[in-house]
Amino acid sequence: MPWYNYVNVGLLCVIWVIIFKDLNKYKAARSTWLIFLGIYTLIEFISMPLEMKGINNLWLYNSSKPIQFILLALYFTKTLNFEKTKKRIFLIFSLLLCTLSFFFTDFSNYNSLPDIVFNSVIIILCINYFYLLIKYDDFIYLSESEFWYCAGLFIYYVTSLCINGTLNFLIQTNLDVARKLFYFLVINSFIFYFLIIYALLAGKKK
Amino acid sequence: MGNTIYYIIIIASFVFLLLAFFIIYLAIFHNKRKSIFRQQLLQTQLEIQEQTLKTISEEIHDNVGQVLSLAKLNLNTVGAIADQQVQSKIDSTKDLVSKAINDLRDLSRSLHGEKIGEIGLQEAIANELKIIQNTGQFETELNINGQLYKQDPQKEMVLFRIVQEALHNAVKHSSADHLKVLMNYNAAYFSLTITDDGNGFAPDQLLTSQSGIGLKSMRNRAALIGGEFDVHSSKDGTAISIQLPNFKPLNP
Repeated sequence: MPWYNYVNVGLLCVIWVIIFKDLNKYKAARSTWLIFLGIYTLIEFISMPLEMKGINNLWLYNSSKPIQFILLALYFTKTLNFEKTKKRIFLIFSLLLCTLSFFFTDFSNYNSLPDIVFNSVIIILCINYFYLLIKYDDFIYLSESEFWYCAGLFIYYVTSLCINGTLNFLIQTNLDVARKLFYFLVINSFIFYFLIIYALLAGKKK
Repeated sequence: MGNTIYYIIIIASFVFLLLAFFIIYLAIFHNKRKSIFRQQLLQTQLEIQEQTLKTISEEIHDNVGQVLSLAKLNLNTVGAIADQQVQSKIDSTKDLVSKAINDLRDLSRSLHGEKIGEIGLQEAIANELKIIQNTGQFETELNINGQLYKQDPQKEMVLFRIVQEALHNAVKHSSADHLKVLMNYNAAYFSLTITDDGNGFAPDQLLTSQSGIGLKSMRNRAALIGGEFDVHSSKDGTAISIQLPNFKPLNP
C-alpha cells in the first residue's frame, strides 16, 4: 500500500474518532454533512483494497460523486438558509445536473466534464456563504458556525478544479503528467482533512 | 510540452488556492472587525451607563434633594407659624413638590435610552435643551436643516449622548449664555453642531491631557458610529461638530 493511503486512512480515522466522541451533537447539527463524510470515507476505504489488488476502482468514485454532490447541495441549502421555493428550484437543478452527468460519465475512467460542473456549483455555493458572512451585520463565532467546514470544502474543490478538469485529457495524452498531478490531489485532500479536524476541534473547545 | 502543461496546471491551481485563501481571510477579517466593533459598542454602553448613574446621583443630590428638603422644612415650620401664613407655606410647598416631580420627569426623559429611539433624536435634543432653558440661566436654540429622517436607534443614542455630554460641559465649564444645536439632514451626510458663546478652551491640549476625558469620550463615540469629530474653540465660544458620511436613513 502506498504511503499516502496510510496517511489517508489515519486522517479519516482521526476525523471519525472526534465525531464519534460527540456523535449526537453532530447528528443533530449537520446530519447531511455527516452522511456526505460517511459516504466519502466508505468509498475511500472500499477503493483502497481494490487498488492494491490492481482492480479498477474508478466506478466507485464515479457512481458516488452525484450522491455526494446532492448531499452537499442539501447541506448548503440549510447552511445558506434558502427559502422554500429557492431550495426546491436549487434541488431540482442539482438533480437535473446529476441525471445529465450520467450521460457524460464513463464509469471505468476519469470524467472531467461532470467533475468541473459539480466542483463549480460547490465553489459558487461556498463563495455565496462567504459573501453572506461579509455582508451580514453582526459578527458570528466562527468555531460555532459552518465556517471551517465551508472553508475546507472551498479549498478542496477550488484547488482540484484545474486538475480534475484536465485529468481526462492528460491521461489520454500524457500519463506521466497525470500521475504527477495525482499527488497534488492527494495533498489537497489532506489539507481538506486537516481543516475538517480543525473545525471539529474548534467546535468542541467552545 | 509535458512539463509545460504540468507547470501551467500547478500554477493555475496555486492561483486558485491563493484566491480561496484570500476570500477566507477576507471573511475572517470582516468578522473580526465586526467583533471589535461590538466590543467597543458594549464598552461605550457601559461608559454611558456609568455616566448616567453619575448624572442621576448629581441630579438627585443637587436638584431634587434640595427641593424636597426645602419642602420638608416648609412643612416642619407649619406648626410654628401664624394661621394666615400657613396657606402660603402650603402653596409654596406644593410648588416645590411640583418642581421636584417635573425635575424627575425631565431626568427620566433625558436618561431613558429606549425612549430616545422612540421619540427620535431631534425630539430628545429639544427636550434636553428645554431642561437647560428651564433653569433660567441659559438661552437655548435648536435649528434643523433639511428633511428629517430616522436612523439606526443605536446610532441615535450615541449621537444623543454626545450632545448631552457637550451641553453638560458647556453648562458646567463655559460660562456661556447661549447654547445652540444645529442638525443638518442631507441626502449624502448628517451633521450635528453644538455651539456656545462661552469663554472657550484649548481643545488640542485637552485631548492630549488626562483631564479631557469627556472630550475624548465624545471623539471615541463619534468614531464608533463612523463619524468625524471636530472641535473649534476660541474666546468667543466653542463649536463641536459630528459629521456622519455615507449616512443611510431607515425611513427615507
